[in-house]
Amino acid sequence: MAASDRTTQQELYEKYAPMIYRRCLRFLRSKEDAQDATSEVFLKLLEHWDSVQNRESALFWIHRTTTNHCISLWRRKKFQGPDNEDGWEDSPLHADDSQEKRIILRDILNKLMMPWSKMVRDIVMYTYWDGYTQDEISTMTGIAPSTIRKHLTKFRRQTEQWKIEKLEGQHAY
Amino acid sequence: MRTEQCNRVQVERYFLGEALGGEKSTIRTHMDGCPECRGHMATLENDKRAYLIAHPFREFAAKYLDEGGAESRRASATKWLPAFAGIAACLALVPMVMHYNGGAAPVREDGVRTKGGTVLEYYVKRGETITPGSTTEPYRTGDELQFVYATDVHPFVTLASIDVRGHVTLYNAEGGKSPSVAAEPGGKQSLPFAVTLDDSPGAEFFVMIYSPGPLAGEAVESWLMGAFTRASGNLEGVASLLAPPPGPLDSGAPDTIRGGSEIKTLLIRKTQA
Repeated sequence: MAASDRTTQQELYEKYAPMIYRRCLRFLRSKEDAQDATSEVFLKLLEHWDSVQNRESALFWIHRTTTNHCISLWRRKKFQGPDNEDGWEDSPLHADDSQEKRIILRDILNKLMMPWSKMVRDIVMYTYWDGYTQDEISTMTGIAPSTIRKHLTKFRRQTEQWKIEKLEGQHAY
Repeated sequence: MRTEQCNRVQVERYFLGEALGGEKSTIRTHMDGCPECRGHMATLENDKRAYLIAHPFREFAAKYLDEGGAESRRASATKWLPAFAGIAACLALVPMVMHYNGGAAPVREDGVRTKGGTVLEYYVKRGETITPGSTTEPYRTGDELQFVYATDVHPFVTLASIDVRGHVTLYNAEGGKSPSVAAEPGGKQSLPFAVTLDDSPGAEFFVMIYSPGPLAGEAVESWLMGAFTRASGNLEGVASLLAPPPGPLDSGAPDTIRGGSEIKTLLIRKTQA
């Protein structure tokens, strides 16, 4: 059942929409795109509010749904491949990143378009995009740190040539 | 410095009220001694405050939840008062004038245009009848307002309004461009668009900003929204907050507005048709 009462909708909006926007802006960089995406994700939150509040942390739901929504937007915008610099300025990566880091992140993003399982994709995004530690990912997702380590190891093995290990530890607050 | 105990997700759970019981007290204890996590918490709070000022719920509700939405309710018509010169000057209506002069106390005038000053007037079109605007007469949904301005020193004018629900409208701001219009110096000129009154209840508070440069729409919007919030939704209170008499200029005014700009305001009352 959706949150249909106006007072409830307002409470949810004021509580969660700013957090959704933070994440959308981090992915999309454009305030206008981030605001549109925030509205779309928040409408999903209203629609699924009962299951969200009963089954899991709203924070985790927001992170996962926003990530998937933004990846979907990238796909629609035909995110450019690693050998093509055209359209790079519209990509979600940070402009002040070093060239090496940009290349590595871009490779990861392209590989994430591939059909990884949802769990692996979440773990990889939180690790390499958000810079979350394994403990932080565990807090959010409820996945045991040992399982997170296992999936990351598997992901690294398969993507060894990208040298993504260099990104670890570079993220700060 | 970040420690092994730092956990941003826990701080975010605490911020959202998801951390309960032992987790809550553990996070609070950690934050008491951790400037990094307190800083993250402060960032979340500041971001939330800024977002809700820029994008209040009423704006979201009007666009996505209300029947019909708000997008079309204020569609501006094309201007229908192209030749102002033929209309008698005595129709002038300037209910309130406020000057912004880079920090000086605002000066108010009542209904009189001083030499070298600015003018704001408006006319109302209902059906085929055009009459001068009046602050004492309520207007209806569908009435069209044509604003007329004059300024000798300000090269740009910007029209915005806020209604009793706190919905800000920037006219002439389609496509993310600046809502400012290049003003023609000298005599009175009508804005290149008319404003159609929507079916929102109560009053509408219009602000015309005469500025030395084009203004960013976001700055104008957040300024008006901030005043509306501080006035607890009272539109007459908004006017006092934008330029309190006498006293310092509104501290929330963007620099682009404070620096050599002037504003005029107009409160229009509406009734349902």
